[in-house]
Amino acid sequence: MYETSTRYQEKVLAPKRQVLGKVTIDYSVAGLDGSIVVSANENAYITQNAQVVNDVEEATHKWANLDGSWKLDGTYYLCPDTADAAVNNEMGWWGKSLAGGAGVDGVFAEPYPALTVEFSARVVSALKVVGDSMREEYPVDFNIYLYDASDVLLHTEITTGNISVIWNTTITKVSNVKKMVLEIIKWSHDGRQAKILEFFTNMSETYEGDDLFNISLLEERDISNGSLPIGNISSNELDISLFNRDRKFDAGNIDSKLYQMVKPNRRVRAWLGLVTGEVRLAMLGMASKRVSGSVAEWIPLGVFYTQDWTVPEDDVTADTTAHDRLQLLDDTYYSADEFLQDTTLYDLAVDVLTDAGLRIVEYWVDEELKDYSVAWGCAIAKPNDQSHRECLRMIVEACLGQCYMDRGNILRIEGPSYLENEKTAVNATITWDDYFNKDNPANYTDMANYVTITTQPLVAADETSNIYTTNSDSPESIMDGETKTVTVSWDSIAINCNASLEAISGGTLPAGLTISATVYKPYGADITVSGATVAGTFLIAVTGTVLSVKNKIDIVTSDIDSIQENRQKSYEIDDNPLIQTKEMAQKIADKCLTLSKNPRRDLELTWRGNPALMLGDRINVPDSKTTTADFWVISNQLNWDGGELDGDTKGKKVI
Amino acid sequence: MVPGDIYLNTTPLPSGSRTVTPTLVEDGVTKRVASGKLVEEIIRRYVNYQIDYEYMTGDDHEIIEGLYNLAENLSMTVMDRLGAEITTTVKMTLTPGTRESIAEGWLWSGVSINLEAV
Repeated sequence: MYETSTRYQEKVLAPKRQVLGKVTIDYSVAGLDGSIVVSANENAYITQNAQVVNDVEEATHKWANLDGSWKLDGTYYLCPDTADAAVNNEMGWWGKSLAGGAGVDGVFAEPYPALTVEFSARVVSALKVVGDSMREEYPVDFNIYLYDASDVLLHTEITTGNISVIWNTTITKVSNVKKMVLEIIKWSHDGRQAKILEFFTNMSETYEGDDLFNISLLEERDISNGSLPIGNISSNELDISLFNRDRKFDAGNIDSKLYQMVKPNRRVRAWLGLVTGEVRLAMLGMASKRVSGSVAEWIPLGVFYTQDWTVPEDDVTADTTAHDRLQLLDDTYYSADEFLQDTTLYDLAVDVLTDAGLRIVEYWVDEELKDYSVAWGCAIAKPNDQSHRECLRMIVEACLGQCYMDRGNILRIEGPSYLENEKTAVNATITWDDYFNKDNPANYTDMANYVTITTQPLVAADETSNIYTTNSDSPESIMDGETKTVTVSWDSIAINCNASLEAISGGTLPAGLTISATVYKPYGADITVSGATVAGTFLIAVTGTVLSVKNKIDIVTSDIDSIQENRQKSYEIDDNPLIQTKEMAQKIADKCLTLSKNPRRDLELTWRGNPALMLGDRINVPDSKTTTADFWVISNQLNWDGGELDGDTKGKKVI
Repeated sequence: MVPGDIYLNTTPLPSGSRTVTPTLVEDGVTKRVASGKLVEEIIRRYVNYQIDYEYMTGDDHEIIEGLYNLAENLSMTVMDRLGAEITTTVKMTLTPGTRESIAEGWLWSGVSINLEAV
């Protein structure tokens, strides 16, 4: 359950209640808006410029620097110097020149450090500059310039004497801004570099009251799709309907603040709020206004990203459907840079999530996945062709787990025993007074009493073979003294690789050319060559031992009693590359049979709905006139139509 | 504005000899749950006002008539006892009352303004 006040718990299913809705849409979010480009006229040796637009205003640590400020007192950390390290470490842009270079305390020498952010043309009505809160450094005197697509200066904001780490202001609306430049003249500390954590204002609007017609949320944890709910993952879905006030969502309305902003991939956050407080019926007070502002307790529904928008001209609504972050992971691909030999599903899941750019605080992986060993984790990858979402699907299939986004926008991967172990107490009791209709369907499609798991063992070839050779029609070329890194790839996982240089037919290798570094990956390598004293061409050849799936074994487990009672219900997993050993296949088969050999009478409930009820929660529901039964919530649909809330909840019976 | 003031658009309503009667209104939907009990979802809560004038001068009467003759929804701003300004959109209906006298700038009685939140 989402944590709520006692007052909320008393009122949410009271005979009379009022539920409000609220939606915030971020129309310009870095990371989703591909048009955003960050550059600077100077950079420190280590800097993370892309972070100045990621909406994170706090540095992760006090970063160490050789400017005389670094004390060995344990409070300083080394700067994140790689893209991987930057995923979980916020640093922002660090300039190179030191304040005081102009001969005046804190003032930089010209040209001043300048940070530029470019994006697709938009309206700007607010500005924000965030310094380094951990080091308590910030710009004192600075200018912000706004330009259009033709580099015409549209607005100049001059600030002197700032004393805040976080500076922001609102300005008169400026349209068609394509570029904004921050020029820093004076810094808070002499002898330090410029450090900017944020320099971008996401464009957001919040809709509630008369501006919001409808919110519909569908969240699912176990998706059966006519078979066992194994290896299926689903994005949560949010449908919203907004009031198209002043036709601001119309695509052709060039006067709208949202012109060219109503597009897919806008970030949506939604809440449902229960009015929990006493409304003060002041003689002249407008109760409805007071209610929406101050006495509702809001429950988040999650973070979503818009798909297409529908803005009909003959209607007053603007509608969109949004999916959660799992959907976005369908469009990004796992790079598989490591072989991940003798790993676990836990480590593999963390590697996939990190590769997808999720920070530690953005995911949770069940420790139970450490019980599932994998000989070759890289088997999950295909060269440039395996989405992060598909990787996660295979991981949860290989452990009979579940993967979904929770309300806090945390990607959760839960093991097969998570509910049994962690959800032992009832989170909510639903009575006859709370629901309209209840059904307990027998889910014969969700059972299996004859389970076949096929192993996919990766076996090394007996001999090494040539796995890559540069096409002689297009040899690599190199200049005198140049160092060049060539990325090569092949179709099958290969180990024990060895790269060599070859001359083109009838020619010779450029004098002095050698391989100076190689980084082998499952499906390729980065080969660095250098030392050529003359320009020329060359070929690269790589030999290696190919790993391929051989000697598959079918592990079959069945339950005779169940087959006699229910007839044979078969289930098989025959193509999961992570099930590589007989032991793992047996473990999965046994677990699958235990969980699925008996038909369950699950729960389908149409009721008043409680926004605080979340996936995996354990609910107690009347089973007969005198008995109750416990269920785990596996699907939750909340429909709010501007005032009335109802819910459709599906539950899996606790056995 | 001071507590008790009522404005329609930018026009202050005359405060002499008036009584203000707010009516709390709730729009809701009721349903019966499985046990047979009735439950209600409140869709919207708002306040309608009736403002009655015992007497009103001809000048004030014309101002009120002028607001009514705009034939549009009006923006009503009230200041509550604690000094908070609350604005809402209202539909105005008018009972013009009885003309009691045409002396001294005319005098009306029984004027009543109904303001219904929209």
